Amino acid sequence: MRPRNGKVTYLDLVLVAFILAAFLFASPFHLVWMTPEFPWYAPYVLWFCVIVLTAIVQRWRGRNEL
Amino acid sequence: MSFELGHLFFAAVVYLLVLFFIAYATEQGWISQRVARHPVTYALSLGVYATSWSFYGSVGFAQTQGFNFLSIYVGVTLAFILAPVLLAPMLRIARDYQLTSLADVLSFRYRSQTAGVLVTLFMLLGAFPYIALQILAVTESVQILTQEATPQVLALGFCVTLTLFAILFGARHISPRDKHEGLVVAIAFESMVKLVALCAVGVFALFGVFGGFGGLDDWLTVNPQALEALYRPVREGPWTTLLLLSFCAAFLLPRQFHMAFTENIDERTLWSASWIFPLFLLLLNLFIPVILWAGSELSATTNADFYVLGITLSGEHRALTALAFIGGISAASAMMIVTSLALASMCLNHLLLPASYPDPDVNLYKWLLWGRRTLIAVIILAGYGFYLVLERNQGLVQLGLISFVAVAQFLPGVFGLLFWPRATRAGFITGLIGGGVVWTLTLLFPLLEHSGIGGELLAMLSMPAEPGRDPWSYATLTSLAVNGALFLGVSLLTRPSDEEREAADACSRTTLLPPGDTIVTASSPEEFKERLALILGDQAASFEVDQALADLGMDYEQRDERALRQLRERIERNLSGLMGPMLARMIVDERLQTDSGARTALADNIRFIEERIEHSQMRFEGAAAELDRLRRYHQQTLRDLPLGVCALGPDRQVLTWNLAMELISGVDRGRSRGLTVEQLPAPWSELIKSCVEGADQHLHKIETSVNGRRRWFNLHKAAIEDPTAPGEAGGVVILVEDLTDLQNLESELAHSERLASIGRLAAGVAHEIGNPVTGIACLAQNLESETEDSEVRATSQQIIDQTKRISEIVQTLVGFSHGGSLASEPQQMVVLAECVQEAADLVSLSHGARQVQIRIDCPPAIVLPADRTRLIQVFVNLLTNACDASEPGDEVLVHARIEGDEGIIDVIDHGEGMPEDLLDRVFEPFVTTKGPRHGTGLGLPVVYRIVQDHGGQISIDSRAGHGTRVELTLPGAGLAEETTAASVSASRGALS
Repeated sequence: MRPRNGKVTYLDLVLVAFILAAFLFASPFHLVWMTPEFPWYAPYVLWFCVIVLTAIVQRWRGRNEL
Repeated sequence: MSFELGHLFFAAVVYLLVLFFIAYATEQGWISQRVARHPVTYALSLGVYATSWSFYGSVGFAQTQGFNFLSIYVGVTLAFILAPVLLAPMLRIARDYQLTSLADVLSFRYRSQTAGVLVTLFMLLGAFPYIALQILAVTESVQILTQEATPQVLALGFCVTLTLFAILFGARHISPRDKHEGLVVAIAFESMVKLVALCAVGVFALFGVFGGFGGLDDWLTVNPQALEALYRPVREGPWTTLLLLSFCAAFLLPRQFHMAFTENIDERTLWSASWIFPLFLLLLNLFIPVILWAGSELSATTNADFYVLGITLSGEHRALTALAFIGGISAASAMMIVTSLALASMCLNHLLLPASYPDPDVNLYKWLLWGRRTLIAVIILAGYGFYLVLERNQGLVQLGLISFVAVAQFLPGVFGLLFWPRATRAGFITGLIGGGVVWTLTLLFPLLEHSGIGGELLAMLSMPAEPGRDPWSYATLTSLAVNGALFLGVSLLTRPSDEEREAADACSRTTLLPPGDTIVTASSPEEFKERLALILGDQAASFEVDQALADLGMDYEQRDERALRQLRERIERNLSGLMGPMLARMIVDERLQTDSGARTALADNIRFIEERIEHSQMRFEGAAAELDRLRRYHQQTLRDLPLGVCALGPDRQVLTWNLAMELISGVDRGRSRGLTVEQLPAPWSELIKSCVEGADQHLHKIETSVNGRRRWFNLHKAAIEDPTAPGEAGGVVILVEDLTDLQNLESELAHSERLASIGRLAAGVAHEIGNPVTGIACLAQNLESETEDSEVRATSQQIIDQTKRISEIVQTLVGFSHGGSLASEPQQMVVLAECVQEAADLVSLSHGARQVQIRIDCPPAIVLPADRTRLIQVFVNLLTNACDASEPGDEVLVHARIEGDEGIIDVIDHGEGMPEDLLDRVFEPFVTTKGPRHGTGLGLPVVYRIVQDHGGQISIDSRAGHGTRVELTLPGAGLAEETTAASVSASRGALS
């Protein structure tokens, strides 16, 4: 992991994933999608998206920084 | 539908036996390590997070708190996204310093036994309600299935059975440091059982109760309040607080810490777990709302906490009910086994051992093993005691959340561990006590008060949340606020001790200096044993020293200060895994004292710093990053310098040994660094020593033998000033210049020069001698023809013979002296076999009487560019020499082959060979092994000259009595067809 040349690092992506997940789940934004207007499985879908994002970040790390 | 109590108990015991078999099979190697160490297995083992709370209680929690139940798992997802920032550093610290619990980690960071004791006590207090929750869930589930009041003795029986299994899983072997791969696989299996059981119940609820997705949608359309009931609590309830609590619980709960860090074998599995574990949690919770709605639809008779069982009972599916029951047993047993193991380790290290350290005569390992077993039993039974005094209608989730708030109190301490080196022991302890007191007053006392324990006093001390107010946010935020404020405030008001600073640096890896710039007073591993035996006992001391030596790849003969210091550090780390970091440090400090006045070798420090820089390069930013880049540039320059560089410290240890030095000496860089001059292999030890100790700054053309080869070196030295102590000598740098090639070139030049002079001399002599000799020969012929005296005629004939011989020698000399001038004559492609054959024919004519057989093994297709006449001369000379050296009946072999574009011709005889001392001079004129009347000593010099003129090489391999092998290498050779084709192609190219 080399924070040089302005290249995106694994840590950058981890932070992006965390901030996105925190925005979805830990900020007041969660009240926007936590309503009966959405299907009951909507929270699971969002949760799954966050997991997929984490998996992608891990795979990116595996390809680029191992 | 109901079940027999005996059947359920039997099913539970059989399940636990299967579990034990899996663990045993893993340890025996019947289950391959690929499976045991697979990232999925590791991620599933983290599923110990999902206990009876998740398996049974989530449905009840969803009924009262709607989608808030998901926050308990989403918080874990957030923590695992941050695995590289949060979990990986903790894993490294735990692994590097052999820390087996959070109490070990925090007592190591804050260098405080008190901190360890407090963390352990707090963990215990927080864990009891959680263990009680598991017992409660199991007994209630049995009660539901048997439709009978569960006797207390059943709960006790369950606890005793689990105690036995916990001991079998984690406290079976003497060494507690080993990873329990069997435990990891067994817990992963438990997670799969939980997942399968819950999903099976969920699928039953979806298809068996609602008839599929369509039916569920219809039901939700008819019952919109069910959906609203899921969402409403999120808008009103403690969603964010629960996220925070589960975020902390993900890695701070004793069982999570144990599985995530203590049992981790490969750091890379953590990366995979960062998404596999959350995915497991998602699947586990996918059907919770469906099960809840199915319970409502079926009007299940059970409490919502047990709808998982309730809906299967109403469906009369005995197998599914039994599977759900086993899933519940699985969830409870996994939690209780791992928690009791983790807490037993903590209690042993931080409560039992400091309070009653065993006598050295006692077998320490057995004492520790039985101590751990006893503690496991005590912890589970204490949880049972807590279960007995609890108010039974306490929700499962309520009990679990009390533990979550308890472990959240360690968050400030962990923050200090990972990110804030300024945090102090006093700050941590004060904060923990403050947060703990608030937790006790706001959660523990109200819980006990509700259960009717403590009476008036407890009622007076309790500070529950006001009615209508969210109790979890109240307790969590208040306790964390008090804890955090005290932690920050007291840390800023107090100064960290040297020990704390050192530990903080070790945790954050901010320092580049090795810890403890000292040397050990014990002078040998044997002395280590003797000293440690006074406190550990003979057996344990011996085992620990052996183990540490084996870990470091050292032996008993080790006397080096650096190695002994490493041995001390390794022993401390190993003991830390055995009895906690504080006790380990105390023992090592007391028995393996260091001499604080002595300085560590500079070589060690430099090596330590370099290793640290390599490991922490990602942390450099700004100026530090630029400096690191500059360091790397200089290091690379030094490394790639074409001169050998050897820098010695003040203690004459090798600090630098660059690539050129490695190539020149054949001594590996890694091996040479840290050695003293005396320890270097010959001849470098003597060579460098003489340079360092000599008065001269430069040593020129030092001749030495390296691996049996003569080598010549120039050595230059300069003193290095110690950068940390200006004015003091910091060592010496020596530049080693390899002159061997230059020396060889000079020798070659001198040789050529000598040959040239001889050639010029020969030409002059030949010219001057030729005419008188011709005259003498004419006169002798005249004399012979003019006399009848037979004696005179014989003498005249002898004179004529001798003049012929003189003429031959003169002709050869002339040929030799003119050899170079002929090189410019045009060369053409000649067939090698023909040249060799012609030469062999000529030699056979003159050596036919000697009956030496010349065998030619030369492919007729080989052609090469050469002056045909001169090439034949080469073979004539070589074959003549070979035949002269051979005995009658011997064979001389001429073997030719092509390698690349070179023709290699070997002329091999089995004659008398040449003495070794002659080999170096054999190409000089007049050097011969033949008798005075048989050889001029000009044959090989002529060959040498001709071969050189052709751009080739000649080498001779000969041993007296074993024959001679002359190898000619001539360039530009090829096979006749190829050469023709190449010529044609070249011609066409030229034409076009």
